[in-house]
Amino acid sequence: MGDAADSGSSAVLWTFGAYMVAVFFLAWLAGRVKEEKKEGFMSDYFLGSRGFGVWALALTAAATSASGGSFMGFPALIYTHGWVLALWIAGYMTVPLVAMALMGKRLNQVARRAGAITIPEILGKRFNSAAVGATATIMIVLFLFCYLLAQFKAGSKILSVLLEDSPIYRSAVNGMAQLIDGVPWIGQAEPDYVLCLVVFGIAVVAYVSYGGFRAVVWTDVMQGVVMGFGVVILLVLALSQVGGLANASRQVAAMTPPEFATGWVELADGATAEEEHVLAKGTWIAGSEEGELVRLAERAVIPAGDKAGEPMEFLITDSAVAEAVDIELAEGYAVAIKERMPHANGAGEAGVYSRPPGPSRDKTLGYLTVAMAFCWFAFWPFGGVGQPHNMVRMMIFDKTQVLRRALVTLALYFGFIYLSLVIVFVCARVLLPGMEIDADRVMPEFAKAVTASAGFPWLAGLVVAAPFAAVMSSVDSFLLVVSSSVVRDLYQRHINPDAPESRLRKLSYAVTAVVGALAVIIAVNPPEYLQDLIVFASEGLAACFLMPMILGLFWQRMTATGALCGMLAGAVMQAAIYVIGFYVNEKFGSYDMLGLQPFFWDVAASTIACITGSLLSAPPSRELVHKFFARRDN
Amino acid sequence: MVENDEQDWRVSREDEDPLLRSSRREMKVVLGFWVVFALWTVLACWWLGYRGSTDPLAMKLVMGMPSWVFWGIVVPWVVSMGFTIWFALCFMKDHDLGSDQPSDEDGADFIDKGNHDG
Repeated sequence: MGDAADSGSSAVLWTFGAYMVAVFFLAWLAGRVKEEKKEGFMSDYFLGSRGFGVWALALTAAATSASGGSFMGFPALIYTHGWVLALWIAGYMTVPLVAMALMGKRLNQVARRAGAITIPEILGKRFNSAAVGATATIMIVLFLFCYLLAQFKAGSKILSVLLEDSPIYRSAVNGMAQLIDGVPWIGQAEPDYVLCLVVFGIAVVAYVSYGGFRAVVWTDVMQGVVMGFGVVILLVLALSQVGGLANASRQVAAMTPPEFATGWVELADGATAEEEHVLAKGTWIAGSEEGELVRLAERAVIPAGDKAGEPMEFLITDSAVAEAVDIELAEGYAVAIKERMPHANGAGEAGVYSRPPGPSRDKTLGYLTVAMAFCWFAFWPFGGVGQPHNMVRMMIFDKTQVLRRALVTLALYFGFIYLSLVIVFVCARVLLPGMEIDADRVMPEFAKAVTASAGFPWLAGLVVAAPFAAVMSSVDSFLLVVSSSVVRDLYQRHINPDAPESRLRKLSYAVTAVVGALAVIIAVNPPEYLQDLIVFASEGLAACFLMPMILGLFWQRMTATGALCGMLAGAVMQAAIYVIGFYVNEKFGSYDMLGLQPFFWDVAASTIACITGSLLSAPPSRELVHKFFARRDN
Repeated sequence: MVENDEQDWRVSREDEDPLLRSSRREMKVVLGFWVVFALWTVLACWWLGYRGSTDPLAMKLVMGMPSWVFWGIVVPWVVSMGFTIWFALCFMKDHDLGSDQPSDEDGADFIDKGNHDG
């Protein structure tokens, strides 16, 4: 059994290794192309000389937008709340058109007229104002760095799940444990997490530093393809193993939400343990009431000479959840339940996983109210179009035909990926019961489980490479946007405008590496509220950039004062909502005024500030307006 | 409110860049598209899902999924894909994006020192 697991995990390791080799090969190739292009290092390093084709544009947009959240957090949510997540993600049906057609063409044109290669630069030049450019730079660096931290953490977690059974990896973890023992800050973290973080960090920083934007786009294309294949494989295996979607839907409809509980493990006969008993996290035990199954949410130990283990957390499920699969129960143990914590919404009700609003542990109105469903439908497209790393992608094509064809590709790609993911993880509820104890791991665990049952354990390497690819393709883009902001918009503009190209080149490599290293060091002990930090950062970026950019592109009367007011109003509103949230909830999080997401209030504040600020300031100069709005006949 | 006496900073409708005009027209269609699909999805899910039967045995399946998912999400998603493809291939106008202004490799300031050709 041990040998089989080892050979399976070695196969996973090999598949994954081959994938990483391919990533590095593409980065090396991109670096070669960059070196052959003698002129314009900055434009090539940060924008790949604006000459990408349909597949590159479509897949880089898809891969960047699908971050760790899409392949780790989203599956966990589907698993936990059921079919309602189809409604939560439904806004993605409008993402391709809104993200690319709302301002793609015009943004590309304005960037060309301005000779700009970064978002702060476009804004700075469009409004002829250094203050607008500098404010944009600061906002990008602050918000995107929060993002980077979260993605580094996600990448390392996936890597550790993927490699955990491999003997080489286990000995490397032991080595790392000795290395970091007693080191301040780093020594507090788990050695396996530190090892994966360092490996992940070095890999990403190396290929981004060397290959620049072209490497990012090329690897995005490959990662987009890997994500697509990963989902196809999962979909086929999940549907065949569950016996068809209708079967899965009926079984999910019969399920009632599990209960979390506290208590302790004891020997079934109530005797004192003669030797130490250790039960791994995830072990199943028969429950104290008829038809109940208990799963350990952490490792349990009954010390020799004691009757019971320490108090701990359990998951209690109805035995109906385990209908489709055989569950091995640990014999000879029992659990004593001290306190049960039923769901705030949906407890004891069959059918809640099949209809909105979906069960919830803490929200009495259920997981997704109608108002929130509408908010998400707006946030996915409009929040997405406001992200600077997505805007940058609208600057990389040289013909509008490329944009049009990329739109078609993206529409098909998103439709397929997201609808399939919902189906796959509804099936996972049936095939992999009890994953609520660690829902974030449902994607890699499910990939391992279905490929192993199908007799192709090595396929798990490819499937799990999909979320890893998603994380990596987001991290590389953020890294480049942050470093371009520092080198181009801070150093070259404000510190040393006469810097020779060779210095800019070295500085670009160095800043990419330093930003990456800094993110690795902070991510060793990431703040607990990391997921909230991601939401905070993405809402904040959209709040700062969406309205100033759209109005700047389409409204002649918009002024630098208006843009500054718009960016600051969005950021201040976002901060205020989180400060209120902190006082009301006593933890980091937003305060949903009138049941709406902060994003709505941010955009409203930003729009009002942009318009008022512009109308109250002097109109822009004729030269500036004509530069960006007038036809050019030559 | 500050306004110039002369409005000569404005670019008149006729002199506006054709790409800007077509982008504005496309923007209106995109926003309309979003409103239609947001209403379809949210209203259909509300009608068939939120206020639907709570009895799991009475749940209707269409193509293996709950009927509210099929009519409220899958169908609009497929139709929106069709619309997006039509928009991209038939409605969106092609334009010359213009040549690249020399990007300031030598690090000029944000403030453009004139020389506009508009």
